[in-house]
Amino acid sequence: MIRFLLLCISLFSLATVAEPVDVSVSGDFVNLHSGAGRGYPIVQVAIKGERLTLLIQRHDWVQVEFKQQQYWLARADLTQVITTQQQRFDLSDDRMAAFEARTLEAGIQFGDFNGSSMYQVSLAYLFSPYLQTELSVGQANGDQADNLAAELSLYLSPWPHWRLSPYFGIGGGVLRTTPRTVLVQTPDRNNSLASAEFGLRYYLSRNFIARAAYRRSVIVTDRNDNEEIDTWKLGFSVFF
Amino acid sequence: METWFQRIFLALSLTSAAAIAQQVEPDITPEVVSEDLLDSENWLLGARVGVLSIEDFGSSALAALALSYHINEDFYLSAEYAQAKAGRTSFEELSGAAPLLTDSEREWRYYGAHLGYMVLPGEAFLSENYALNSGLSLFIGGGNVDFAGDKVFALQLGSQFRLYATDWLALELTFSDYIFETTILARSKTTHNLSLALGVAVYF
Repeated sequence: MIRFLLLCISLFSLATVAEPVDVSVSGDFVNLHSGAGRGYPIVQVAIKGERLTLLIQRHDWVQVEFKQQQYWLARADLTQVITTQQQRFDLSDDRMAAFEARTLEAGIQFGDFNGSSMYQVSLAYLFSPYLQTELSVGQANGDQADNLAAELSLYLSPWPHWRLSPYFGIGGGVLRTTPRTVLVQTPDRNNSLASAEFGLRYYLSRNFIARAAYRRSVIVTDRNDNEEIDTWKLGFSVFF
Repeated sequence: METWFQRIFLALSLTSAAAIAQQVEPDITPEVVSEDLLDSENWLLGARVGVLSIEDFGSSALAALALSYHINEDFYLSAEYAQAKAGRTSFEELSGAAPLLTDSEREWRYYGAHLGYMVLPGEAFLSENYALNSGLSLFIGGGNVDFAGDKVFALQLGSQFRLYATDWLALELTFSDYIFETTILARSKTTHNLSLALGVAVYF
């Protein structure tokens, strides 16, 4: 419960606007560009000791205010400035510690669902680095039928501190099948679904994770035999 | 005798000087802060309206919403929802026969995701001393089309011209092709559904 509250608070604090940061140039000089992107011309230069205000960050650029004008500073040049409290910026993209301490993961995966193309979105919550629960909603459009699946899974990562980390888990949910017919109207079918999944997670950079998985599901039908289907998927997630 | 005293004083003053030097040695291990201190504006929410030409069904008005996330200065990811209402085919107009689709089947809806690449970042010069930043990007993605009582996978290809009115507000001109298979006219065929739309987008 406390963890959940902390999560809510951290999400709320993400939404609130951070204060601008006053810094001074500690390197010999920094170039200030007219736009946030490669090739935008250098229109101003701030030399050692001059003061800047960092306003916002947009991908690899930081908007700064210098002499009442706004410019863009390359993110890499944050190493050339120092805050008024004499603090330096840490620019490491490799945030393994943050990756290991993540609590929420949102992802998108594409793949093959028993021969038809499928895609799904997922949201996961990590109870601990070893254990996480995930809700996924996926759709597959085949030649014979369209499938919509919603599943809740529980995953176990035995080695969460590895950069390439395997995981496995089980899940269950519902599968809605809409047969694709032209002449006769057939009703939609709703079936229960139980699955087992094995996959790999790879920490890429910043807050991105690549993910590949194989999932085998049993569809509980009202016929004599249950159906088994294979799903292969590849995608990536962002963590918070 | 005198030199003996001098030596003592010299030795004393040197040791005290060394002690003082030790005292003033600065502790230079600067503190480190994360760049997360700054407010990041990597999300972009855009809305656009325009025209969509649904193959065989004429052209109709299109409305779309897109939420994008900038991975870096080159790549971005977008989730998109678009909708339009198809008109009548030439066959329906000319033959006077019963319409092929019901009113609700004429609703055209797309939802999907795409990956964009900023190919040509640049500037647009409005006057001699006034320029706006701009960018031309290409994107590819996929999603779902709900049309004529059927759900099919659609491939989306397109390009977008973005003009930054301010640092947080952009005007967008988007050209997009939704490619999907239809079986409405008895046999299956691949259709190209082109759209051109103008919109605004805000960074947050």
